[in-house]
Order: sequence, then structure tokens, then C-alpha cells
Amino acid sequence: MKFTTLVIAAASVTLLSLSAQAQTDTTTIKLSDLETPSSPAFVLLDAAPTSIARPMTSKAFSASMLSIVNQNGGAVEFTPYWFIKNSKMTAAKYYGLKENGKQNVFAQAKLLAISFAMVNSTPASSYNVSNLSLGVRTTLIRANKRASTQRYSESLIAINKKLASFIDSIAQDPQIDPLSPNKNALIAQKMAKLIAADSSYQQARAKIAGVVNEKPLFTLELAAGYNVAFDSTDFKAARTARIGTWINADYLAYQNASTYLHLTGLARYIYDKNSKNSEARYVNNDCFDFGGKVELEVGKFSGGAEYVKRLYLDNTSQNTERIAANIRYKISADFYVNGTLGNNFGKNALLTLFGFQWTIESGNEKVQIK
Amino acid sequence: MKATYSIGTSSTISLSVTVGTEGFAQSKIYLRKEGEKPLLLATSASDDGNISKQALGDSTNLKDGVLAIYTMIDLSAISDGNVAAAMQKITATYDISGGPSGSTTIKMDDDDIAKLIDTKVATITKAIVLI
Repeated sequence: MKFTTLVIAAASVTLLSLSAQAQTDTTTIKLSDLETPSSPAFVLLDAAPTSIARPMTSKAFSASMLSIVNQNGGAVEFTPYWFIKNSKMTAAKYYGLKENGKQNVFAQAKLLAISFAMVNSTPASSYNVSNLSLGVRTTLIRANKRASTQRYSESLIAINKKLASFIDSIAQDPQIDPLSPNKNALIAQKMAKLIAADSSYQQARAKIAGVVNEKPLFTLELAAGYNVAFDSTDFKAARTARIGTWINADYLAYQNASTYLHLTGLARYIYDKNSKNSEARYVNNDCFDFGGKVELEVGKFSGGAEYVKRLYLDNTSQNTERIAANIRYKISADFYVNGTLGNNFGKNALLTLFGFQWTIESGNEKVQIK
Repeated sequence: MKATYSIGTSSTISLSVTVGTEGFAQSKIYLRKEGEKPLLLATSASDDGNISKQALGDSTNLKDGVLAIYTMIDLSAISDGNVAAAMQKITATYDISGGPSGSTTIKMDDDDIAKLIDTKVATITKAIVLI
């Protein structure tokens, strides 16, 4: 237990350091970056609140915490893309959206996210099992609606014109000497003034951000995970417990103002070595998961129901299923409550979770990390 | 940080600008001379902020001037949590040629960029003194 705790703590510190290096301007992370667990590292352990996670764009760094019946743990996830400079990157390559209104639906695949998780569980047999898990996920396909890409195109043209005119204003300002050591301070002041005074630029930016942040019409996410389990405190007791790979496909079936209806499908293969034979030795018990989820978002409320059927390749008598309902309610701009109730894989595997997610907006929402 | 480039006495000086960013970018090259209004020499053609190799003029006309290369970057489409990382990833390189020393690549320095992280906008200003 101590070993696994140390490993996950070391991984967290390392990732926080990486995040700090990439964000030297702020040296902080926001509490809003702490999310409820949905990383592959958690999903592989059947420990996530939802087994069918709707694909979402990964952040440079995020952390998750979990407390669930007989299980507790944490996970960190980071996206290496944000820590690597690329002198050939452009907005069109990054977003996959172009000035001519065309779209490259594979553009988000480069945002591969890597996660580490640790979950301690106390199964019915009463001994502790520590699980370390490594996960990866990426969005293979992200397709926006055609009307959105058109709106993006029009706004981008407007933004480019504005940027060009802002440069002229800066270049022709007699107060700003490009050879002066304090040029950046003057330019920053000038930029702030120019932007604040230009409502059409702000509107174009808002439209662009709206398109980029809007829910895509179709998303296909690929994920994989590797899990090592420790039955005792001895490092040599480490064993490969699970390896899995899966795809989640999400279709935005309905959208109207602040109402969204998502249909999400799942197909997953798991190499599983958590079952013991009559000689108390771990044996393979591989399986396939197939499932679906319906999720409705209405204003501050979102709720969904999911069903996953687990089919074992050899021991079909162990076939099982997971049925769960998830709810999430946005009490205020900075405070969420969420819950999961259902039956997890296995017999008598009650699944309950009730938690909060919050962001403090009083100026204390940032945590010093160096 | 300013850079210098020797342009000689009778040659055509060319410059290209390559910007690396996830944001929308526009670039312009100005020639600045003491007592004169800044003269626009070149502009980027698309939202990547890049300027392909451009002949800026004869060394006799550029002598004692400063090339001020501005790139303004808009990161409004980057999510809040990733803006700082995106700012940190910004790169710019300037390939200048035509002088007696031949082609030279100059890179953006850390003190060449002004950032407004909350506003999601940055401006790179590179000054190349022509001698």
C-alpha cells in the first residue's frame, strides 16, 4: 500500500512540476481543473462513475479524486501535446477548421492524453488490493455541424482583419519603440485598450470560441489502459491484472438552446487476470464489453442512464452487466453536485457515488504549485 | 532582444517569418528609420502569421534602418485551462538573407513577446538592426 501511494504521489508531483513549467506565467492550477474521474486509467478499473464516458477534449493537466463504496483513489491526466513546441503548428492544423469553412475531422487526434490512477479496493474477501493503472485516450474523429464551420469561417476572416489593423496601430504608435526594453509593457497596454474598444472584434472572438467549444455532432474516442495490481505490500507481488482497449462514439441527437441529447456507444476488449482457479492461482478471464448510454442535458441539469453487457470469452457463466444512472446539477457557476446509482459488474455490486465539484471564484481559485 | 544583420552595400535583402502557434496569427514587417514614419514592407497572407520569403529592398535603401516584425496572436478559441500552455508554446523564426554573411536564422527571444493571458492575446515584436 505504501509503495503504491508513493508511486502515485511521485507521479502527481512530477506532473504538477511539468504543468508548472508549461505555465510559468501563472505558476498555478485552477481548482476547476480538478474533475470527476473519467480517465481511461479509472475506467479500466471499473471504478469510474460512468463506464461510458462521453468524449471530451483533454486539458494540459487535470486531477481526479474518487470515493466510492469499498474503493478510493485518485488519478492525474496530462496531454503531452501541450508541453512540446512545434514551429509548424497553425490554428487550422490545431482545430481542423479552416478559413474556407472546411474541416479536418481527425485534427484532435494529436491531443493524446495520458493518465495514471491508483485505486485501493477492499473486496468481499477483506484483503486490500492496490491497483495502479496507466491509460491513454485520444479523439480520433470530431465533426462539427456545417453551419458551425461556416460561422467559424466568417468570424475568422473578421479576426484576421482586426489583428492586422491592431498591428498597424502598435507599429505606428510613436510611444512604442521596438528597440526599447519596456516595449512589451507598452504593447500589452496598447493591446488591452484596442481590444476593449473594439466590440466587433470581441463579437467575432465570441463566435469563434462558441464554435470551438460547442458540442460536436459526432465524436469517436479511442482509449486503452494497463493495470497492475498488488495483493500485498511487497513490490514483487505486482501482477498484470488488466489490459483493455475501447472506443466510445458519441452522437448529438438533439440540440435546442441549452438542451442536448447525447447517444453514446461503447465497445471494449479486456484482457483480465483477476480470477483465481481452484488452486488459488490467477487465470485469464478475457471479456468484451458492449454498451450504450443516453444522456440529457437541460440547462443546469444533466442526467443519463447506461447499460454495459460484459461477455466473457471462456467462462460465459460469469457474464455480467452494469446498469447505472448518473445525475449532475449545476447549483451555481462554481458548484456542482453529482451522483451515480446502479449495479456495477459482478454480483451484488452496488454502485453508489455522491460528490461535489466546485470552483472558488473569490480569487482563491488557484492553487500555488511552486 | 534586438538582433543585428549586416546588409552590405549593394544587395537585395530578403526575409521570411515562420510562426508556430495554435492561435490565429497575423504578421507585418515594418522598416523604421530615425525621423521617418514606419514603412510597411510585407504582410502575412493567411491566419498562420507566416510570411514567405520577401525581397525587402536594396541594402542602400535599408541602411541604418530597423526591421520591426510584429506578429499578433489570438488564442480566443483555446480553452481557459490550456491558454497558458499555448502561450508557452508560441515560436517564431526569421530567416534573413542577401547580406555578405549570407542566410541567417534568428529566433524569437522570451523578451520579444507581450502576453495578455486573461485576454488570450499575445504580440511578438522582433527588431533586427540593419548595419
